[in-house]
Amino acid sequence: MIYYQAMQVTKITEFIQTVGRFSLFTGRSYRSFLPIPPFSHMFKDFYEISVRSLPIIALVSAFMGIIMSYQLIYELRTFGAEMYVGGIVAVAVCRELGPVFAAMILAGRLSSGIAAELGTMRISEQIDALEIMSVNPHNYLVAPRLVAALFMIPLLTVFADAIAIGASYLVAGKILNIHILKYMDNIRFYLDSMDILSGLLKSVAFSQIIVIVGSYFGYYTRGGAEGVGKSTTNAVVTASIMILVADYFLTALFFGG
Amino acid sequence: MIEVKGLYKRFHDKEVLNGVDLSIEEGKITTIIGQSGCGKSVLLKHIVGLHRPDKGTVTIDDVSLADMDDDALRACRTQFSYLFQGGALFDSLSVWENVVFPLVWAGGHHHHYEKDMLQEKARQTLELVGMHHVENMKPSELSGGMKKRAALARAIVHNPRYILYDEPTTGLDPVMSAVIDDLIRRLNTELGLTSVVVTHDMQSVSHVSDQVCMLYDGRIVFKGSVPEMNQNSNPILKQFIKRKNKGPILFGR
Ligand SMILES: Nc1ncnc2c1ncn2[C@@H]1O[C@H](COP(=O)(O)OP(=O)(O)OP(=O)(O)O)[C@@H](O)[C@H]1O
Ligand SMILES: [Mg+2]
Repeated sequence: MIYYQAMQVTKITEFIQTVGRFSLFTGRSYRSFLPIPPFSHMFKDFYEISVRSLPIIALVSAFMGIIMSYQLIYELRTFGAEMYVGGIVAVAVCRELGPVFAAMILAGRLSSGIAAELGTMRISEQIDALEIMSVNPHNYLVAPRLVAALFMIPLLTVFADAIAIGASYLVAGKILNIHILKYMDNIRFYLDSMDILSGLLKSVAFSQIIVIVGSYFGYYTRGGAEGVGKSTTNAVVTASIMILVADYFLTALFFGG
Repeated sequence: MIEVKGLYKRFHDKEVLNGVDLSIEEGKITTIIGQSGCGKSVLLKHIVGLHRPDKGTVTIDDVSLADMDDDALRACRTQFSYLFQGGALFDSLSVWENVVFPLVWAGGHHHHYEKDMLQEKARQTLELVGMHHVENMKPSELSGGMKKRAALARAIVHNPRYILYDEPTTGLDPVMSAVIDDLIRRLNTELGLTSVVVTHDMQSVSHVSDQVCMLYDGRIVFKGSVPEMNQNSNPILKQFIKRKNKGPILFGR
């Protein structure tokens, strides 16, 4: 029993330590932001985050739109309200589903990739080599990715929203025989700028979580290939959880009052 | 001037450094010898502040590393070059980008140079370590010894005040080892660099050292010139340089 309690206490202290270290890491990364590295150095990150993420985001968003509109039409029919499907899909996607789905996919793609790359650099002493050459690893490794994510992830989110709404029309148009212009009118009626803006602000927050969490786990990797594997998994799991928690608080902030 | 005083370091339950005292003379080549796993690399990393000691100090020009914050430490490190035991080349960059990295990121900031100029500089430096036509390869495409030499090229491309080499000739053939030894000597005499060389290679030791230190059981057990080393009667040192399997050094400890 005492042993069990002692275990609990060490676990809790460990958790608090991790939170402290994570906060320090985050603080250091933003403090090392300047001078912003040249674009030639960041190009790779911009490319990785945007172009290489497009196909998967497009695919998932399209399915999201299609499935949502199927489900909604079926349900709304019972009230004879199936004409509102466009507006409901658009609001749900822009406020919530677009940013969160995109962020979850990108957490799987980017947080893991960043953690694996930095983790490998850590265990092969490349991060030490940066330190020796007076290069701040936060500035060299983390800042470019933060910048790239800051611009690219909101853009990807807008893209995801558009694809999902477009895909939802494919179903709605076919089943309900609505003309695209009428569908758009319906969307315009229900969707206001706050819906879009709140989604974008969320995606800005998520973009930073994705990069910081991936970098943190990579940076503190220990113990060979196994350690890199662990960091990668931890990065994805932690980033996903943090995205959902942040989503809750941001939703409460934007729509709670 | 680098001064190490009473350095203690343990990892978990294992005591690695047990009160190391060492002063590294300016403009000289100091070699550190010792068994595999005795803490040579750990000692070298303490000198540049990659490890923090449990007890004891490392001072550079009478300023203790422990008193420096991150920025001061980075400023201090501009005087250093370090050849990692495993090379530590950046595998996302090509060989030539690796070699000129210390120039492009001198002082921790990105500097803009003509690409041709940098490539030429990389080519010349790689030539010094006996490498040709590898500029555009990635580190993963090089052999072990080639990685080591490319990393060496990166360490000598700018003119630092101190160079620390962690086993520069391990994994190289005898001819290449001789070339590298010669290069280390030349950098020292022609540019007046202060060098610290960690090695097991006794031929290399005789060829390059001004001062030899032996690390054993976490302490420096011998310090002196090469002739002094050859005449010394310390049984530990004798066993090490004569390559005997019987003697006071126990293996498997
Ligand atoms: N980061 C670390 N964590 C835990 N133990 C470590 C760490 N680094 C080194 N050690 C331990 O310290 C001891 C000395 O290691 P070090 O790498 O300095 O040996 P070395 O003298 O350089 O050996 P070699 O000649 O084989 O390179 C080893 O027993 C090693 O297990
Ligand atoms: Mg070593």
